[in-house]
Amino acid sequence: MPTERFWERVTALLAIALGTAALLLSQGLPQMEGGYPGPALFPSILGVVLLLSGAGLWWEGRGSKAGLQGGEGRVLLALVALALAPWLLRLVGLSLTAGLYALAGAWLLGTRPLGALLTGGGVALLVYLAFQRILGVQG
Amino acid sequence: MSFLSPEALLALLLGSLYGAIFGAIPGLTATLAISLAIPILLFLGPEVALAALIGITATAIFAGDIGSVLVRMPGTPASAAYAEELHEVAKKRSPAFALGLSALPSAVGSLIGLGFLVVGSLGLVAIARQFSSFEYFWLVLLGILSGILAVPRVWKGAIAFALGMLLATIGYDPALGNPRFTFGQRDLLGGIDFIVALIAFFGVSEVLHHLLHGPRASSPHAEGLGRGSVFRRYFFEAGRLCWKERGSLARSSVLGTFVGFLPGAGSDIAAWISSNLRRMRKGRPEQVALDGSSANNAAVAGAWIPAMALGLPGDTLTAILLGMFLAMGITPGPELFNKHGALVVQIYLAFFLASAVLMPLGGYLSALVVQSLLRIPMRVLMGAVLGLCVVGAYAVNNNPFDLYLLAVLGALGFVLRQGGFPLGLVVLGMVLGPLLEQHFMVSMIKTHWNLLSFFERPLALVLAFLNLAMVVGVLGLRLGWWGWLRLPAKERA
Repeated sequence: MPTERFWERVTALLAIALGTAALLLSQGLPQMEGGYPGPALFPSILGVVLLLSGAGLWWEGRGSKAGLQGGEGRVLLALVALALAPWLLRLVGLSLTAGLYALAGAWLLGTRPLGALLTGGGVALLVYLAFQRILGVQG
Repeated sequence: MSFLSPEALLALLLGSLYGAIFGAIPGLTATLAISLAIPILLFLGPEVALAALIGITATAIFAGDIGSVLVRMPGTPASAAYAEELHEVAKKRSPAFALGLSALPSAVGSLIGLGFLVVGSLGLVAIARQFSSFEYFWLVLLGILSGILAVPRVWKGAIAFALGMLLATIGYDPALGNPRFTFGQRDLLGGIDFIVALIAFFGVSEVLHHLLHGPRASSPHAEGLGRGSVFRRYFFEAGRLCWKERGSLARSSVLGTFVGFLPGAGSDIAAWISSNLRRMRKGRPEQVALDGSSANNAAVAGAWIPAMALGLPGDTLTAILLGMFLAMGITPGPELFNKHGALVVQIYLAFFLASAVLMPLGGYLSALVVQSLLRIPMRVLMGAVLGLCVVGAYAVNNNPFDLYLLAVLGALGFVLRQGGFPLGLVVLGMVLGPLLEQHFMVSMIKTHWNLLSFFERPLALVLAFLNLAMVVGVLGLRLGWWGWLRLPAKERA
């Protein structure tokens, strides 16, 4: 439960930050003729909802214990690796990229190297046959 | 091509088997099954893709019970409501009987739901022809509010919905066509691709969730289907019980269809309500399982009614379905019935085949496949899912930029998931947000910003009242207002 509380607070802060950003960025959007609100109206309303809900959630959870459980490093590593996917795609192509992610994912989750290698190989083969050969996906 | 073509029938069969396998393995949900399948389905024709999609949705919820029977772990949240009872039946009688007890009521529930889908969607279409942007606005708002209020903590529901809607504001606005929040990125002008978001929220976040728990996340062990006259137990013994309980079966199916029809509610809620009602009447484990499994499958068909007739999704699965329709150039709602009448009939037919034939017959077959698959460690399956997420996100538009979105939205999905936020509502927000804005802006522009115009048409007024009644009613129930009102005046003071 303290872990859920921790992520709850992170989300509450995220909601406050995104709500504020939506409100500020909406100011730059054009208005309609006659001074009526235009494309800015809806994001502004959502900004207010996020700001209030985030603050409400933060207030509701105040005083309760919150903490991490460990393992967040692996998650961060996977996310950074995922952000490198477009670069990897250009470098080695689609099926190998998919295979590498499957391999890395299985390995990070605790599969033995041979098992991870087989997972990656299987996914690469599947992607090559199903997506590239049959469906004609470029990459 | 029609739904009766060999390709479409094969797609229906393969979709059912795929949905059943995904639904049965704990940790792999029906939504994940669809989000990984859509990048492939987009390459097929509408009839073939929709046949596969119907096969997946119709069987994935039922298949959640296979995990309960085999390893006491519900494959989907919709099966969690009566997993204990179903597993108890499997241990006491036999796994084959328990599977029959799950498959046959599921098929009945689905068929009763289909009956309502045919009649209900046609009726709704007739009403929807009277709808203008005002009525649609209130109806979409009803869906949003009921979704928020259905979450145990309202803040969480509001944040999930608002985040989904905010994500949908990226790109050209739906009413006036101005670019918003694109930060000069051409790739963002068309907005965030719904399917990429789906893969990120359900696929990547699931893998990240397993990464957080590390090697501790072990895979379940199948307990076996047992030997003996499996066919007799699966069909005849379970069938006999279904016949004996036919009244209850019909009641829970109707209840499930109704709950599924409500926006924001879905199979999970239908299963919980139905099985809890049976528990309250001191029902035996097999009766509880029977009521729950018929209700959650009926809810699937129920959710299709507003999706097909009005273009409004009732749950995450139908939100995906609508995204799929739009990707194929088909607009759901009354137009679907006007322009694609034959397609509608074929959808009904495919639903019938999936419910009446594939669910009972395929149930046992998929259980055997799943029994073997459960021996594959979850960490291997999750590794494969990560690889397929990358391919799926890229294959939708052949655009590497979508992979950046996959990482960002995957991180967002992970944070929300860990905090116990309902990810389905983020997806629903992405679908309902633009609809709400469009109908609001169109109404406002039509009436030169006269807010009173939202209350001038009789149907709009009824829907506005429904919104108000739902907010007051649900908040009243949750905050205990009604109990307080029943107190004598002295005690209230």
